[in-house]
Amino acid sequence: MHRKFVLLVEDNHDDVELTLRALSKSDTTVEVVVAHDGVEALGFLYGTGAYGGRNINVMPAVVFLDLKLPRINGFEVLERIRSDERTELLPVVILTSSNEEKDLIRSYELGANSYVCKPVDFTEFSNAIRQLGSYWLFLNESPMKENE
Amino acid sequence: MNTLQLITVLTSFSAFLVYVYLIWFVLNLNQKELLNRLCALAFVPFAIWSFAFTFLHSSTSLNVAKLWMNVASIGWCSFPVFVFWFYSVFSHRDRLLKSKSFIAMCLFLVAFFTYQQWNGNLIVDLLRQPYGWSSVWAISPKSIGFSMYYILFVVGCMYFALDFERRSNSAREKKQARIFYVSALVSLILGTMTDVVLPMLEVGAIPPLADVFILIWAVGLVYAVKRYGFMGLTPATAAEDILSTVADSLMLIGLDGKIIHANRKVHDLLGYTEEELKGRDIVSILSGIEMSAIVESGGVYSNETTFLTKSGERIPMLLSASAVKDREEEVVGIVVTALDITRRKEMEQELRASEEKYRTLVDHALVGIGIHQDNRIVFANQRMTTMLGYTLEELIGLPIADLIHPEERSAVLARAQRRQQGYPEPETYEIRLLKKDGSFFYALISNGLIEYNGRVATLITISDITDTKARKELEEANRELEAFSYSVSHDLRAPLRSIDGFSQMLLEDYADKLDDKGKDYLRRIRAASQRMSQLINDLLTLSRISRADMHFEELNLTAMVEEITAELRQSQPERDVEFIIEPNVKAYGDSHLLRIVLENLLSNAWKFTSKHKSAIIEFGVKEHDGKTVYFVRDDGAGFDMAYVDKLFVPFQRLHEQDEFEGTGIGLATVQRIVHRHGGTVWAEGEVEKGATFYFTLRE
Repeated sequence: MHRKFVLLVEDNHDDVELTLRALSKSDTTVEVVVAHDGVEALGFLYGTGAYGGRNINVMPAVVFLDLKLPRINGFEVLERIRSDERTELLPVVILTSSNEEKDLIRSYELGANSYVCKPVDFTEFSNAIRQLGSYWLFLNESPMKENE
Repeated sequence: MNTLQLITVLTSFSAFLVYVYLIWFVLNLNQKELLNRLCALAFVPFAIWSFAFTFLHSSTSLNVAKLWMNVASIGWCSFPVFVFWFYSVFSHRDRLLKSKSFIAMCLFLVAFFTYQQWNGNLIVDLLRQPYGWSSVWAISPKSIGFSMYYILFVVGCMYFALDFERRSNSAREKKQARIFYVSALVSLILGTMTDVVLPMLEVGAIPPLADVFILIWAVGLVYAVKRYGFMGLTPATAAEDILSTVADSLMLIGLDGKIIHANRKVHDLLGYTEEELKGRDIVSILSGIEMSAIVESGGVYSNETTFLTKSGERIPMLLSASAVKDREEEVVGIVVTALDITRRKEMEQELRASEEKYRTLVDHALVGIGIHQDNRIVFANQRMTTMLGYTLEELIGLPIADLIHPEERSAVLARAQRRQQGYPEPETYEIRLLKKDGSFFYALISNGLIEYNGRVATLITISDITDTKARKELEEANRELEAFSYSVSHDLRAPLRSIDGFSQMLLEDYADKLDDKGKDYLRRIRAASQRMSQLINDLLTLSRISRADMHFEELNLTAMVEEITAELRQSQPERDVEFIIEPNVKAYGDSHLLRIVLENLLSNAWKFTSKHKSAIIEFGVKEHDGKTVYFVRDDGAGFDMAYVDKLFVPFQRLHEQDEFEGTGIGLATVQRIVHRHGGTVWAEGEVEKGATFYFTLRE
């Protein structure tokens, strides 16, 4: 039985650092895999590129996806995730600085499960991340069952 | 019989013949008319009288003479009544004749006096004279009575005639009446002389010639009738009167299509003389008369046609024709009236030319021109149809809502309705119009109220401003602004998060390695980054205000204020603040933006009263110079009126950060929103006494 983990897709190293710190402060340890852009993220999910050979039956419990990514942006990644039957039910939380309404609507239209605007205030940010981790990994039932 | 006698006899007999002829003449003119019959009836007594006198004067024995006198008495006893009847009907006083008792009385009088005469109580004796016989009248109550009887009736006749003359407006009737009473008077006087007065004075030298003198009256009567016509006695001559005086052309046409009679106007118009027209075929004068159709239709036939004059000119006429029937309901001909419509035709031509001119103008205009009424298009020119991508048939009757971009629909329709109700609304503004294919384009629309088919409608002109340079530049600027805002929301915030985050992490993880000063520095870093975050939020809000589409609708400001104040109260329940909110304050504007205005003003009031133990915050509306002014008032920190100009400048604050926190953007936002609504905002304040912020919106 593999531990549940989060796939964090974030290009900003500072934000990665802050997110990891926040998650580490949770009651239960949360495992995180970090992809620094969309290509890496998709590579991880489908076992291509640098992640060739990964057991792709083991999917993350949830993907925290930033929108502003180099090369392929967050929306494209989301579309790709939803269009592949291996990952079409994979829970995706959009984690972004933008509170523009059109980003919000577009995310849900493309099939995101949640949309969270990253607060600038660190305390608020930490709380938000911790809650997300707690909810999506432990409270929420993931549809991604492992196929051994 | 001597010569004198012969003369008397012949005179009487001739009179008799004349009376008979007159009776025949009058009845021949018209048997059915009451007037004719009464006239004939009036002549009958005189005929009898003259007839009897013929034999009276020619008889030799007294008894025979007396017998004939008695026969004559039927005549001279009955004539007053019958003549009176005639006169009363002639002067339209025939009410009398409707009374049975009156007729009975008349007939009784006739019978009474005839009887008296036959009993020898009036003319008691006859005297032999060279010329025949003369009468001897009794001077008795009965004979006086008789005199009075006939004088009374005859005077009555003359009174009627006189009065009729006076009352009548017709010159013709006046003339007739005059002849009637003059001739009656003359006959009466002469007749009375010879038949009554002289015999009473026992002068027998003059024969009784009343029956002859009365001829004067009778002939005068018939002459008047013939010459001046009666209604009813001679319809043809009455028609002649009407024909001559009517201003329009009037013609009587026989069933054979030949002109029987044409009035003066026709002669003048066509240039023909009366002789030339009489008997002429009507089709040679005008075309378009279907004799049989008119006869059969029975009603009035109306049409436009042309008259051909003698000189070959054609005159446009409006024709009206109908069948003329005689008393047996048989069609005897057609009466035609025609109106010269040359002028009318000219005016029609001018009008057509003018319409043509305007139609060309409208059709070739470079802008779309249309009219809408009851919220539907009722007219559109060529360009408008091409601009909108519809055919003319599709466009007419189309609801104007279908032509407006959905986001602007309610606002524009409301504006149109208010304009038609008489409120002042902007006449020219930009609008996004929807084409048939669903695409839209920017247009400049100009509105004006007109009357169309008797009701109010709106005339619109539309110019497509899609290609306008200014529009392009504006769109470009907008796009840049959107890109900028997007960038701001992501790119500026991320580093802020880092600053704040790592500062905090430092505080947490290296607390033991830092002294108080170090910790303080970090705290300041954190505070600064949070402040920057707030500024970014405010800037974003301000920029969104300019970009946002406005949807105008009726709003209840009181309800909004109540919600906002409830939230404020909830945020700090411990504060003692009284809210005075005027009920039912309505406004017309964008809901989202006006909420921001109220939120800003009320949270300002809330903030600047926080240093006071208790506070009163008011919201209300008042009238000033005919405009509706909304206000938010507090009794808090207030401000120095010297700095009132700086109030609405972005980022310009009148207080220090420690006193009251804030970015200085709130009022700038309020001002921008109020300006977008076409209104103004201003403030009044006094240090520590409070401040009042007023704003108006477009009426």
